[in-house]
Amino acid sequence: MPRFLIVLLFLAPLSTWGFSSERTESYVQQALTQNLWDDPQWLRLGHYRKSWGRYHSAIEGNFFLSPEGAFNPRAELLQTIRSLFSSSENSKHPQCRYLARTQWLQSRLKISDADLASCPEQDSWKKVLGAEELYIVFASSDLNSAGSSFGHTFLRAHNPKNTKERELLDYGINYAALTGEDSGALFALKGLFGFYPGAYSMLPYYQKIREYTNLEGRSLWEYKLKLSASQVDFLINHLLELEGSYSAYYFLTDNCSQQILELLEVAVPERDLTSSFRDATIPLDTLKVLRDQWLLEGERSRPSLQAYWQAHYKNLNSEEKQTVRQIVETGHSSELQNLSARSQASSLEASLSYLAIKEYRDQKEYKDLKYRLSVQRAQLGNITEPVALETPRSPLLSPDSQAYYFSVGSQDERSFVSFKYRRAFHDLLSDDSGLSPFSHLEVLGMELRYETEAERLDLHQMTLLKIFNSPPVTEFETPLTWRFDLGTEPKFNPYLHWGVGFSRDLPFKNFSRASLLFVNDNFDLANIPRPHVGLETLLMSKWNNGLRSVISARALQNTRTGHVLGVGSAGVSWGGQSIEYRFETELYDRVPLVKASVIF
Amino acid sequence: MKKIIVSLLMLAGAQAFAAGDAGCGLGSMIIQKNSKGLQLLAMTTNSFLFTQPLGITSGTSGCSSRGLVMADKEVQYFVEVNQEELSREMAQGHGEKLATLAQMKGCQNEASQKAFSSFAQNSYSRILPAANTSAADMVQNLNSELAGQQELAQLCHGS
Repeated sequence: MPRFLIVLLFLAPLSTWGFSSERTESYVQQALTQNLWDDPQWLRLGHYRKSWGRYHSAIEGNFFLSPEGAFNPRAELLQTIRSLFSSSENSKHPQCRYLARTQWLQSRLKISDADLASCPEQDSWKKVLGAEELYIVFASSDLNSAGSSFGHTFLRAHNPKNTKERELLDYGINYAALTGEDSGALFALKGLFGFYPGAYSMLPYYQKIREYTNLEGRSLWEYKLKLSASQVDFLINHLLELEGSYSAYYFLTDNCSQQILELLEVAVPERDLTSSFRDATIPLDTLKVLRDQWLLEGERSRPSLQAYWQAHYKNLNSEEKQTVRQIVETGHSSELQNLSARSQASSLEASLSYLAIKEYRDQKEYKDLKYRLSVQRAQLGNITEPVALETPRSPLLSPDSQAYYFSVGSQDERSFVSFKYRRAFHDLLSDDSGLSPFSHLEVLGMELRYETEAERLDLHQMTLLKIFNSPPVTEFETPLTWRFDLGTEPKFNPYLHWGVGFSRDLPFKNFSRASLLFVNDNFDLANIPRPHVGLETLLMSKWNNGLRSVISARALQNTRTGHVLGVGSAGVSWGGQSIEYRFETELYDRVPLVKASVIF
Repeated sequence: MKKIIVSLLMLAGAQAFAAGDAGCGLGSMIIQKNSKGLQLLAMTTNSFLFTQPLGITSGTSGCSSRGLVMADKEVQYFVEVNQEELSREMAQGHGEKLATLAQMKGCQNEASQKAFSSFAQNSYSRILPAANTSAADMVQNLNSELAGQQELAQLCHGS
């Protein structure tokens, strides 16, 4: 059946071809005299981008009517007018296939009523959807998964009929790659080089919420977009035009967030939302562009089930905690009877949320245990209040993903000034609002150093990819902390460092975490068989919202020479969003380094 | 090639909603979404496998028609997707999904939603008589339990 429909869609434009009347030609003339094909709205409707003076659209599938449509907006416009407004009596009228194009042309050309079709099927569909407002939803990043390490954005189409909690019945509009079952390196490579088709899809919002907050443990942030109901309607019309179309999905550039911005540009053709993204589109950055264009309104977070569980567990007293541990580890709940009814209820609720998380993590069902605990909990009656969660810091408060570091310092008593450029995303000392706490994700960094006495300018260090992820070990989980660091230093001398270990949160200052890692450093890639191996410890602290520090110590043994070298370092950072100040010191095999930096 | 991909896009939707008789046929599909362990290169929802394409041409099956949930299957589909959460929230007597369900059942104001939540908690083992009660049975049990609740009906639909 779907295939039959596709064939129909492919044929639809053809079947109307050849019916052109004088009126149709007059519309074409009107369009030509107005140079309509060059109108920003038309270019947006075709997702045309200009490069090297030529237009090109990434959309494929059954979207373009003219064979040259993907790179010739003029031909596509003329073909569109001829297809849409030739008086054909076709039940699958092309106007109903191209609602937004029709609506726009109608506003720009004098079109006779006789040439306008009605589209009852589309009208009733849109009425059920009832979208009058749009929200952009940001799913925070998850470093443990390459596909989502930079976050994700999608839209929520709000029907005003869905008041209060009924808003869960809204629809989520998602742009994603159709990847099939691929995973691992193949998935990453294919994703980077555009081998997957990307397409829009729609699901009830509660289903999207479930995917992110329950299954993946990622918090969601919602922002209302300042669009009028008619702009939203136009966008939905256009979305329907995109049905059955796809475009190559590139993880870095033509990704979910880029497509969502392009979709929004259709509704606000006078705005430029996409041109600042050339080499990579980071979801969080697209959110900031929308904010800077005053298109966002309000903010609301939907914490993940993990966040609820953590808050819940933290609020328990020690007997309750012990009971929860007994329940989730052994499945027995004998310790419950020593507790008051309220404590029993709290322990049962916490256990149930933990088991829900565990089911997903272990890919194993605990139905019977959960059921037994639920019945027990229900019998205690309505005696608890919902867990109150602290609102996490807004991702909009995070510093720019792109950064410029200006530093002065001295190494081995030789003073220098240096300049570093970081393409993305954040380092360990950066403000981590909206990001995984205590993590480092750097793609393309380059530091130039000028030694003032020797009057020498050199490439000091270059980072290709640097990741540090430190999910903490808790009473319940023992996730791995790991680091990966690939780059060159000094100059173009390649290195590859990696490490694995564990981290633990500490009740020190506002929020602290300590890590212990086994590390394997290869200072020169040519010598991989004889690396430096050793241990590294880190203490990372957030003193308050503006002040952070990292202290680390490393002992490394050169497996070839047996030489042991020690590295100690300390850094403090103050500020965040627009400007950050840093002071760092390091003792590297008895060579001292001090450095003060300003980061924009 | 084009047609293959387009058909794939369509089929992805049709497959996800392969109709079950009473329910929507989601089954356990939405749970088995991800691999465990260190998911460095695993796929997540930034990519999609079993979501459905947009409206109009996606056909009708299970509980959805052209990509939208049918009005008379609204509750069924909601329960099917959120069964785990609803079960947990019913046991504790509060929660967002439970409040949504209350609203879908006509309990608009806060007082009536609270009453609905308490009712669901009290009737927990009648609405979910076993660990493996299906979503379709859960909806049916909920409806028959609700039928006897005159006071609640008054609160939710009255005046």
